[in-house]
Amino acid sequence: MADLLTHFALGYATSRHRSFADMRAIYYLGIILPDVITRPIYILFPGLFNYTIAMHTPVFLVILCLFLAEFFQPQIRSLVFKYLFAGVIVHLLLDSIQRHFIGGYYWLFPFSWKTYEWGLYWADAPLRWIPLWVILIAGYELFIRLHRHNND
Amino acid sequence: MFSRDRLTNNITRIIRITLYLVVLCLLVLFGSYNNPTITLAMCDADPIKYDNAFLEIGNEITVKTIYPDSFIVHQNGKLYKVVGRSKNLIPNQFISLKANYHRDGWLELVDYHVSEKRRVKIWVSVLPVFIVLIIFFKQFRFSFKNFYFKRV
Repeated sequence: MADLLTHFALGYATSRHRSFADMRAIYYLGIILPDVITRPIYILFPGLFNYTIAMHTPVFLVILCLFLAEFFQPQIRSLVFKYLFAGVIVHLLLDSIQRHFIGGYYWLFPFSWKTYEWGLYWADAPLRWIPLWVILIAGYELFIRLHRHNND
Repeated sequence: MFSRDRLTNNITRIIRITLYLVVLCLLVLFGSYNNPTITLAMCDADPIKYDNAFLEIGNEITVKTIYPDSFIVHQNGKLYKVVGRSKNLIPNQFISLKANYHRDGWLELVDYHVSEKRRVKIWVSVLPVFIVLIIFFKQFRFSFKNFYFKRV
């Protein structure tokens, strides 16, 4: 899996359209969700790794998104689910193009244990691009704020 | 009438939440018990059964000591001897291993991959979690009365 800053940067880049305005926070939550629910568990307690296997699969995550959406006001519940799951899908897609020395992602879990990935880059490769993501996001935010300030 | 509708809605909501939670737990358990991957903990629990078993280990495994024809790795509080020549390994480095397990508790190296800057990757991933939480709580507040998040 890529680092969360790279995932966040992709989430940021794909949510610039104004249709995301009200739901951007939910989309970001979806972007980081698969790693936030798995990584702390197996990093702090490596013996529990097997319990986290299901948590990074589409079937588990779609049900988790439905579960989390229940904790939002009824009027926006379906919208929350859509944006949350959209973030999750973008996360999984970014993960699936990387290369693993061992293992991979169980896209068809619980129906199959076959792993699928495109293997274009090693999981640790995006780390060296982090300064670029930070500069691009900070630059864009600065540009937007200056633009708004000039219009006001 | 209004309160009856509200009661019905609350009951169906509780049923949905419980149902999602049960399915999520079942998926976690299914993933844990049916995962075909053989772990070091499984080998330690039944060394005779897993004698000569092929292992792929990548979770929180670090190099401890390096010898000319072998090296010692650490995982989950235990040390394991890995027999095989290694190149450019450094103590405390995170690695992924492909190896054959032997009933005496040592591993025969097949291949390995160094997980570069794993700790950096973990720490870098903490930052976006805080950013997302800040953005989220700017847009949503939890209502303890209704037990859901509302738009601010």
